[in-house]
Amino acid sequence: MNDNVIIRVEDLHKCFKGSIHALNGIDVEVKRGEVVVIIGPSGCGKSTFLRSLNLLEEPTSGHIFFEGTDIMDRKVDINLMRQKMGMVFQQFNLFPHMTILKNMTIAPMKLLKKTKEEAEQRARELLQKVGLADRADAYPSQLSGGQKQRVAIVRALAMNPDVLLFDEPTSALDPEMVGEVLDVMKDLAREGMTMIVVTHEMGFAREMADRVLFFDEGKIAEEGTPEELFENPKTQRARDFLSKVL
Amino acid sequence: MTKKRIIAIVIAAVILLGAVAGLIISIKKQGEASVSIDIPEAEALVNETFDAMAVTAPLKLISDANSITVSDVSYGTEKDVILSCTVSTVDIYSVVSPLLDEFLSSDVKKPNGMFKSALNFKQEFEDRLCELIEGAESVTKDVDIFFYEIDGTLTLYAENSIVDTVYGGAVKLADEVMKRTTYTVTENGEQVEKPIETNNVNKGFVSCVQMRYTAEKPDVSAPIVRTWNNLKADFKKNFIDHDRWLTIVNGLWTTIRLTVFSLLIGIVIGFIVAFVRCTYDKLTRRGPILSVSNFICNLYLTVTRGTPVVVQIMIIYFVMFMPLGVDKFIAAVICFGLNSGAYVAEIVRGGIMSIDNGQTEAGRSLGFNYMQTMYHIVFPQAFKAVLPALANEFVVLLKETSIAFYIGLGDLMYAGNAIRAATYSAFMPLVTVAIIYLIMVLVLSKLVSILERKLRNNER
Repeated sequence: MNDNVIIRVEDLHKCFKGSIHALNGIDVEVKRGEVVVIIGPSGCGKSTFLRSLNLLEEPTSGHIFFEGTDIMDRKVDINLMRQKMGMVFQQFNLFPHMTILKNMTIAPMKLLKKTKEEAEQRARELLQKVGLADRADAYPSQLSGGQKQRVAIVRALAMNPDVLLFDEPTSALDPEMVGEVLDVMKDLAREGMTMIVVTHEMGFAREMADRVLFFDEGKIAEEGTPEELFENPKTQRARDFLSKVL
Repeated sequence: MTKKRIIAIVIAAVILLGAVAGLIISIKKQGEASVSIDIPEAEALVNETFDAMAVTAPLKLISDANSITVSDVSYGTEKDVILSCTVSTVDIYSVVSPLLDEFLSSDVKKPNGMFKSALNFKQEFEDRLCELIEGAESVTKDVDIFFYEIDGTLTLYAENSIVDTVYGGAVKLADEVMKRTTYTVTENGEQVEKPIETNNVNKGFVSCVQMRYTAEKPDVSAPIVRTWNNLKADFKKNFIDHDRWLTIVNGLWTTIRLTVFSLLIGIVIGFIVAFVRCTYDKLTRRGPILSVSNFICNLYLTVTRGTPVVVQIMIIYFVMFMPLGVDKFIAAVICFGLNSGAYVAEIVRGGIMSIDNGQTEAGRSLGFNYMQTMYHIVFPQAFKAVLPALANEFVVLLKETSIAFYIGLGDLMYAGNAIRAATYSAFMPLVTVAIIYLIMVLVLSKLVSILERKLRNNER
């Protein structure tokens, strides 16, 4: 297997109860340092796919190789795998009972066995980077939506993941706060972070994506560079979708 | 100064003056009796009062035979009426006292070998005493009899010595018999002193010549002061005498220990059960161990919540623990711990369920396993969310421990009831117990609200 491939998905299926076929045979490869953006109409399975990658959603069948390990294998310790796959949620999901600093240090301290000092130093560096150094001792409820999402991103980064999964990171934000979050994501992309992003921000997809996947009815209906997909979509489904969102 | 302020001051002054005046009047309301009485009336009253006292057959004979003549009525300064009387009565004391040894040396056993009860002796002595009274001489004595005016009616101040005089030495006789522990018999011409084998003899004798009357000087103060005095006397009787307050303190200590230990057990059980049930509900892959634990938890909840606590504690103690010789306290702690565990479990489960699933997902996505996520992320939030409900449960538990009374555990409730049984006064001990429970509940609620506010501040 190519060392450069960080995630390889083979024939992934997911059936929910009541036989909705949310994922219907997905095959995809993500290379190290690549930014992959997933777009598609709601209910097309893009979020399910993203959540399948770290088994928050358990696929019915198929294989997911993460750094060469099939995480669908029951013998694999998924918790260890997840430490290397950061995730950012639509609803931020910060821990409301902890300060920002605690939010960011708890996982490195408990899981990577870092000392308090190490973890806090790293957290402060990351906060500095996203311009929130002065909010380290605040509680999540004291932050705006954009600030919360930036904290959520650096919380994931504090674990030094190899890949970051973004599940509609800007959908729950007020429009004026979308920019600040996207800026952080762009910085990350430029630094060479491997990112898989489910989003409705076509501007971001155009500007930053190395590859865009268009999902429809649990399948990858079309994929290509942003230029190919946005300027010249091949399928009717993609054309309809893009005409609505652009 | 504004008009309103002046009015307020005037009203306050009037109320204050009124209160002081009322207090002075109520205390000063002593002096001469307001009712007057002439000699025939006084004679009728005093004879009636004393006749109403006697109940046993020998005393009835005395009171039939005696007569009281009033020679003068005078009025004292404490609302008292003093009747100077001449009493003619049967001198039972001088007749019976030489024969006391004979009474006390009665056979203490029945023909069948059983010991006689006080009642047996009373029946045995009564006829004999009646005979003696009928043959006794009359004596005449002068005595001052006091009546006190309380709420407009005259009440006899039946001091021991007066009753004794009127009944020809009956009170003195009873006193003497009660004190006797030996009797003297003449055996072979020699006087031998022997111990009385059972005090049923004394009791039996005394119950022949016993009267019920209050030998205390009546309280002639105003009703409000009298109520206060009664309350004080009641308080003294229930808490000061015989150091009865210690019973309450010990009971309180037991209740507190019982509540705290039950609480700890309840929280531990509650969290474990809630954890098992939530895990069962949340996970899709369920091992056999989880399924069995979930079944056990459900069974436990159904039984505990579906049966009354009284039944539970009686079964736990009388059926399970008493035969094994386990202490009542431990039985009660286990019972209340199990019981509150069931309620805590449901509260905690509600709390865990109320925490957004996103929190679990965020925890898991960072690499925490299920247990770590629960421990670091879900439980702290759930605990905070359910704190008011838990506090409520604890208050309920504190009150519920009074049920330990049913297995005879000496808790606060038991202490109150023990005092009630000893003093025959229900008001003071039971109301005190209620007040202590109330204070504890209020303090506990206050503490919890402080804790709650602190927790809430943390999040801001």
